[in-house]
Amino acid sequence: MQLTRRALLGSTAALGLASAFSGLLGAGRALAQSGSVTIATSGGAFEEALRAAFFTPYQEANPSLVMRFDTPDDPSRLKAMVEAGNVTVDLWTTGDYFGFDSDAEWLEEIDYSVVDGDALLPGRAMKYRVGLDIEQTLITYRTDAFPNGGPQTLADFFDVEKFPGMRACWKWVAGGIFEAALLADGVKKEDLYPLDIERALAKLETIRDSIIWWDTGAQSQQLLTSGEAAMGILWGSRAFPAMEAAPIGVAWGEWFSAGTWCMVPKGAANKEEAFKVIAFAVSTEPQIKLTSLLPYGPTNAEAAKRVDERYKGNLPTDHLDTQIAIDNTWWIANQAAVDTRFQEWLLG
Amino acid sequence: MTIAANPETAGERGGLLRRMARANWLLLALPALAFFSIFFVYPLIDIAMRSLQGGVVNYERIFGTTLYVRVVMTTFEMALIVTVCCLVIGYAYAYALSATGGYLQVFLTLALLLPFWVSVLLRTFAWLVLLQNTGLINQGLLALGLIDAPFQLVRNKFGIAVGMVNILLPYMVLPILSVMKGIDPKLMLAARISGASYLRCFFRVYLPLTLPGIISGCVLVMTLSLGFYIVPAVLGGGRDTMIAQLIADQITRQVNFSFSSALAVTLMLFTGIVFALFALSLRLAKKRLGG
Repeated sequence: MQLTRRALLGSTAALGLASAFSGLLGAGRALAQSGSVTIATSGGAFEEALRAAFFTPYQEANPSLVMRFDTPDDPSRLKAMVEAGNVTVDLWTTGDYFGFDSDAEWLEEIDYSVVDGDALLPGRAMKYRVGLDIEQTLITYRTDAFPNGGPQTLADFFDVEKFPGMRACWKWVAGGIFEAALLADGVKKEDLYPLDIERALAKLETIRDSIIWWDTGAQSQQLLTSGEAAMGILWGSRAFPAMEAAPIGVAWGEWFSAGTWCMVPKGAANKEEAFKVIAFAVSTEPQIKLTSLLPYGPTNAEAAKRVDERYKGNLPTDHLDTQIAIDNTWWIANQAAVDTRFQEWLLG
Repeated sequence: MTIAANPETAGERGGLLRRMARANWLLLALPALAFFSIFFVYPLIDIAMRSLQGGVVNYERIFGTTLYVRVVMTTFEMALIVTVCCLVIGYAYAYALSATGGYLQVFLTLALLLPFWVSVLLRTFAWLVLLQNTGLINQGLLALGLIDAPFQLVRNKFGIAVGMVNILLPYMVLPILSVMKGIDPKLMLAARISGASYLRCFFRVYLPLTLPGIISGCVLVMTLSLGFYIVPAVLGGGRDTMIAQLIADQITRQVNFSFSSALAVTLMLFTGIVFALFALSLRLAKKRLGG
């Protein structure tokens, strides 16, 4: 191949630009070296708990490994990284709505020769993601507003006569509000999907004026602790801290299960190491440790039988019989259309 | 000959100098131009391209329902309310600032700028603590027996307006203030001596002189208002969704870059149309005043 002068000039210019950019982005690049692993979490108290249960013990067992943390955990960031071909995170933790087979474009397949998928509860070992914990979204209420007992079921939650007061609900179409309305309207949980959207909206209409919509977890917690709302459907991560600040109770009559999942972004430099960290995190002892730190259930079947005493009775794994599983694959196919209808309904 | 030639060369030199001066100004603007090309124009083109992934399906979805147009309208309505409130409050405030001196002026300046140092999120939640039904204002009024049931001060347009005006007020006050400071007080005196009433003096002399400040303040506040996200999310209700909320929802939860780009482009189009109409009417008004 003959190098022309122009091609040479062009490539040197490109190299110069590239090195200038890698200088700018150097901090991120340097992390993606061997013998290191970078983990993305949502940060805050949740990350601290994950570190204490999983990552710090792993680090102690592998002292030469450089372990770094990164936030936020939004899948949009993961997609942007993969698109730009600059993947600086090896292990990504995020919520329920990402990491399906339809997201194959952005993710590495989980290596189940490293991760013991058979040790996990059913449905927690998927092609592109591994369940890290089982979380709960549940009815939370002010005990001082209902001295004779608060709402226990979703039917109670939609009964403004028997249980007056404002209701704090998550303004996220796939967050469980449609399922809640249908269950309250008498649909059996095994007949939920495909969701009857118009029926759900008609049921929601009956409590429209009593709903306060929240966008962020912090809002939901504030609504309950201030007494602005008499009840709400809250994440466990917000309900239990709220309980410590105000007279608040939770109901396990019907609850939605959710979870945090581990995945490996496509093209992650240290994916072998990431799989090893995942394997450790979902093994029995670290999973038991997590239940001493957060009111969340383990995904490891053996750990589920031997949970810590601290939140025993309030762990999702203690109430598996009343859980309602949100069918995320149905939502992925229908989300866009339902969201448009939901937003329209919200405008009134 | 020499006498005749001199002005000619002088004229040429003047032209050259002027041209050089103009080139120098362009050079000075180069870093800013480069910055905007890389960090603004390029991403903007990228967003426009993304919005067209798979053809015009995204735009069909946007204009196939009334939802998004309605939300854009709400956004403009909110921006207009906020701009008018900022103008009324901000104009009076700017005048007070320009008319006083000493400690009072220091105090007024601090009162305007100190909140700038507190994060928008924090201030928005602080308003919630004050305005909600179980908040300070309603509980105070209830305790005093002035009202029987709490006033609905949040989860509606009022709540959003309070939160946004609080954040955007400095952007209105500062441009108006800088114009007011440049006005010669003798002009007002002259008008008064000539027999104009206070009101006439204000409307015919002072207000027209401050018009450039008013226009830049309004454009600034209006533009910033259109992209507000956290204030309507926290202080607004279900019926007062603004377009930035839907865009954020598409990016963070639905992870649909292409559709969110199309929404952003739609907002930009509407904004472009509104400001073009504004600029046009301004020119027409100027012409009429001139004629």
